[in-house]
Amino acid sequence: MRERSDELEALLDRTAPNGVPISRAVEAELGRMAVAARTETPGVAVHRVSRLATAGIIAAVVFGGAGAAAAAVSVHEWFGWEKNPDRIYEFTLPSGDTCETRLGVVTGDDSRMVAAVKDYIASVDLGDAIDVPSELERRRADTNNWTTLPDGTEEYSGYGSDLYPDPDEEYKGAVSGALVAAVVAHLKSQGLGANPADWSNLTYSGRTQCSGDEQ
Amino acid sequence: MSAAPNGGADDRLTDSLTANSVDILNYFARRVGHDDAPDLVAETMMAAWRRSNALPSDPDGARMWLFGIARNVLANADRSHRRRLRLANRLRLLIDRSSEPAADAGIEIRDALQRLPAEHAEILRLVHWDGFSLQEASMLLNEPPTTTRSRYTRAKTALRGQLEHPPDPTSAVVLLADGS
Repeated sequence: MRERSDELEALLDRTAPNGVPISRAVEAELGRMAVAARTETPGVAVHRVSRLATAGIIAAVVFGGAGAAAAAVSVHEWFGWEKNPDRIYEFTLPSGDTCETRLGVVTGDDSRMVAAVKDYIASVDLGDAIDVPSELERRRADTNNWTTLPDGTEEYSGYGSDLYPDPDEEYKGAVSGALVAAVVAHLKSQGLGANPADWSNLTYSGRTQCSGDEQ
Repeated sequence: MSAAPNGGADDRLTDSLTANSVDILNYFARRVGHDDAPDLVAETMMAAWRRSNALPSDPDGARMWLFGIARNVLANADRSHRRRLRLANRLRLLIDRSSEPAADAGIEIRDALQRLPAEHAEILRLVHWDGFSLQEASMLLNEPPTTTRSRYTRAKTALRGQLEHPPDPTSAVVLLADGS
């Protein structure tokens, strides 16, 4: 009886369904989710435009120095990888609120691409490299924005619609988008990424906290 | 504006989620498949943060607490209408669906497990698929260890019975022919 029981237990052990292959990217993403879940809320966040930003308003952008040195004093609370980021930078929103962004968790299947992204975001002079006004223009000109509402219907969310982000949220998105564009341009200027497979699973994480955020 | 200090509980929860997230992901993947598992992981993480005040202070206790939340998330998940959470978007893309088991790998025993009463199937999965000890399984099932041990023994007996006497797939047809 004991022998049969052992055989059955061994059979049970052997026939478990395959688990998920845990790549470094999956591990990093789980770590990111563990932090992001703290402030994530279920459902779709719908932003209403209170007043469109007037042409010509450029919020002041101050970028932290190169390197991973943490700010001497941060007014925000950070968790997990955010405590030891690859880059910290600050900027000011149209409303006057100040934001701090931390970047890190660079992952991808191609180690050269990962190293290049990591080096770039840690050392680049962001004031020179990123073009926020151009990114704002690009976003406002994009007419392919549609948002799926909680009831499953789709509604246009481009510039001028009720669902388009308010000026501060628009600006935050533009800063982030301008950095992505700068990263991609840098990689291509280095002769990297010619093969589509080079971009496989290439990601980095960022978290922004602003003085006007609810805690 | 900084959050009020909470004795480092937020750090402990972050560490605990990070340390156990792979096992939680596979816990869900083995039960609902690779496609739906990321969203249940995201729900578990969000639920853990909402209840962070109840996080046990020791790592083993925290692990069991998280799996308790995961079991509740699984039990409450609407299988006919799985929610897609933004938090899980990237994880869903990263997971390699091609690693799902081939159609005939272990299918006989998994089919037999499916035919068992739910509480028998679950104790066998917890021990042999998820690697919990019987002591840990009893904590997750919120019952005395002696009850869990008895349940485990009965579950193996029931599984052995299913494997030795599988249902006859033709029997339904025969009955239909006789009864019609």
